[in-house]
Amino acid sequence: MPRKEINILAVNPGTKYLGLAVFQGSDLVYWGIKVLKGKWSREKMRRAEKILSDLIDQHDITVLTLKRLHSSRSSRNLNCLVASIERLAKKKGLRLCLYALSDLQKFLAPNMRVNKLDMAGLVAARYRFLIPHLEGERKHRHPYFLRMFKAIAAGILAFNRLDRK
Amino acid sequence: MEKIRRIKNSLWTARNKMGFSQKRVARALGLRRTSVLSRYEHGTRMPGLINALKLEIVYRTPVAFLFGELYVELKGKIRKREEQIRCGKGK
Repeated sequence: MPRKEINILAVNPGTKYLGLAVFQGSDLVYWGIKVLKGKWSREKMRRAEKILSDLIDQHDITVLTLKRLHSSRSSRNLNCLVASIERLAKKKGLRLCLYALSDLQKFLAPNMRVNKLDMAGLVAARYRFLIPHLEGERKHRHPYFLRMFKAIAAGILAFNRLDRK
Repeated sequence: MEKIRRIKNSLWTARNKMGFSQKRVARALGLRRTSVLSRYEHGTRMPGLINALKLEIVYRTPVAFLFGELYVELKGKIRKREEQIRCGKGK
């Protein structure tokens, strides 16, 4: 019997920037950053939920992967957003996987200590078409695409762990 | 309001994998604006045969891969119909 393909939506949550990546099997089919403008409000959270909900419906997502937040980086609003994403996954009947940044780093470079930019470089080495984003990121003073690279790394890790099972 | 049936495709992915902008692809296709290309990508409009072939050339990807889901759907329907024709002949 042919195995059902794993469609993964990987999210690196943030209250202003959402790092997103969609995988169909090991194939990366969508990647990007969604910007949520304005002050934090219910409406803004609804907008974030809609973005994710549309992606889930559009790509027939079966697994939702979230980058787990470091306790030092979490805030009330961010926790609220993460909780709403988890609720959305439950509502849509998706399998939820949570990975910390250290998990991603260990997976991509098991024998090395890497920083976030190195990690983005390792992701870009797998998906060569992301190199222009990485080059842009190196020029930027403030991180922008790093969020997307982290989401992609979470997606790769989720695919590898689930595919092995 | 009636909901438009969107046809899923890989045009966005193919374009971004090549690192092309919509403007660049629209120019290559001979389109004056990017809006048509955007509609193709969103699946609200289907390209004609000429533009589909142009997209295949620009993205270096066969049309069947660009419209993978539609291809699979049509293939399934045609195989089913072929089977029905074969069964009809056998009787």
